[in-house]
Amino acid sequence: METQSVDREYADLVQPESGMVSSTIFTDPGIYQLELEKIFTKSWLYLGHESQLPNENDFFTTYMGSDSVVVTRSGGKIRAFLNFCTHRGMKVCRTDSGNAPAFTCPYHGWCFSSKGELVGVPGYREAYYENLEMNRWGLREVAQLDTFGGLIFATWNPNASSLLDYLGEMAVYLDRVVSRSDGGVEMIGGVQKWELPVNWKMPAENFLGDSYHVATTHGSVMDIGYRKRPKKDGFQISLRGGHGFGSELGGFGAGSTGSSAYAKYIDEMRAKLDAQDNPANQFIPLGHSTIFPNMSILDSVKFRMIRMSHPRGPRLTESHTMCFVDKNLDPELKEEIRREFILSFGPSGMFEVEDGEIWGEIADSISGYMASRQPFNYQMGLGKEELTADKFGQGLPGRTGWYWSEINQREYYRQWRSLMEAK
Amino acid sequence: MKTMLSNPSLYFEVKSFQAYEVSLLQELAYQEWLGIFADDLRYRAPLVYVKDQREGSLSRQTDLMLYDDSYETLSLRVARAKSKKAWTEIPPSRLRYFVDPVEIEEEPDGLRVASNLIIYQTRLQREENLFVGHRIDRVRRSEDGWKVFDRYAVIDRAVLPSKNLTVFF
Repeated sequence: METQSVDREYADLVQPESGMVSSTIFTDPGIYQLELEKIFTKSWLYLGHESQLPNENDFFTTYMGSDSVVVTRSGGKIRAFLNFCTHRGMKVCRTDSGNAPAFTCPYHGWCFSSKGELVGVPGYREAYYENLEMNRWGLREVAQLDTFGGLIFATWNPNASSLLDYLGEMAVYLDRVVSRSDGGVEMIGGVQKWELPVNWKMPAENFLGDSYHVATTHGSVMDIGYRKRPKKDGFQISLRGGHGFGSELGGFGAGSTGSSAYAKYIDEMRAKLDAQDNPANQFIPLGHSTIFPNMSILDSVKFRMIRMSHPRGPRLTESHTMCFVDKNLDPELKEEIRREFILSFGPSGMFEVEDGEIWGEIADSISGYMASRQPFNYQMGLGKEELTADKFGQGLPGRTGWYWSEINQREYYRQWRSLMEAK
Repeated sequence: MKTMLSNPSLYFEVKSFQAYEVSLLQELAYQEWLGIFADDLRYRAPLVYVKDQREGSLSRQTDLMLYDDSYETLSLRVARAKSKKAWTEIPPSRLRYFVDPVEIEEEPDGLRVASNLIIYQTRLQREENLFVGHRIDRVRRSEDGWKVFDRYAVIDRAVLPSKNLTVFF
């Protein structure tokens, strides 16, 4: 068992108040093991979207932290289970998605219904003498599961407060991502999956609050006119619980090579939404965002995506990317969004290729000993935070900083530290 | 019904065309490489889904993919890669392509060529990526030689092993 190899307390490693976080929390195997328990079994985690399970007995597989889980629709209800046969731990489901009333373990043949009940055991009479407690040995089910605007979340924590409480101040903004159009959103088919050789927090904190990197990291995309140079006018909004988002005024990611049909659609939608009395509408599209700990969103003038950064080891992240469209959108616009998305984000995306390049090299750099003793600097905008309500209107929750500010990251690591320190 | 390769001159012509493309890709001569494609190009690489059967194990046309480009968007990718801020290619990758035709079929307007594909990419000190897959090209003759108008490349690993995808299939 690897343990924390640093001799310092979390209070030394993570100092949001002075804007410093040790690079060790991105490499240390002991810290990683503790995160799996203290972060990933305590938080609400995103699993997928209801549109992935349109029919009875549909299922898909994903991760909660580093655990494989099966998500099913059974008896009309969405459920999620550890993908682990209760006999010897074999995966009872080895495919990405499908439709199945039951899952039979390929090792000894234990069979579980889509509700997770153990319904068949070879040798139940001859070998177990009808003494096996079938009720007790069903698949391990999550403690709580709930949805928000069609987004499915679950937690292993029976004592966690409700999903709505967990999203907290973020809920009014997340609502504008998924429920701004009648009928809500649906997922375009397929999940892009790839491996990033870096700790899961690096992509998560980037989507959370890093408008700062855009001009430098993604300079190549601006050189070819696919994206305008950022106007240096925008905001970050930080919310209790470590969630946050940020954008530039005029909508995140606008290009200089003419306006797309989708950008026009968003403009029209915003004009329509102005009639509603919802101050959060001013932030549509929302920009970049992370919901603590590892669910990220990009809501740009070209597309909407959800990104999960699944931890697969202290230095390995499995990136899952999904693209969303308004359900009632014209098929031609859906097609435009699909192709724009593939061109700009995901493993081959003209933006995203550079992020992977940089994060991979950071992971290599911080594997050195001296490097592990260096703090990262999160001091941008320290002391310049103000209330969102003061700047953007009454009732809007959170605290805000300028377009280039690390306010969101500071709150994120404050939340991270408080969970890691919890007994 | 599968048929065996039987036309030596056609085989040589295909091999020769593929060797030409490989030399361009290995030299990162992407602008010249665009010249092998027709203006009405469809350039796709689907996602691989893990399913209980082979059917449905690739992206449908309305799903996400790794690439789904026209000539115009492929040209944008090439233009980006040439930018002085394209950190993914500064320093440049070192690439080796191995392309081997397994099926060649004559079609009314040209050929359908199915090939196996191995691409080795190494960057910086020791970074390595291996992309192994299958590629179906549909090509037609034009005044200046073969032009690919439809390329469909399947990289077999379901979870892509690389931190980004900057090589072309």
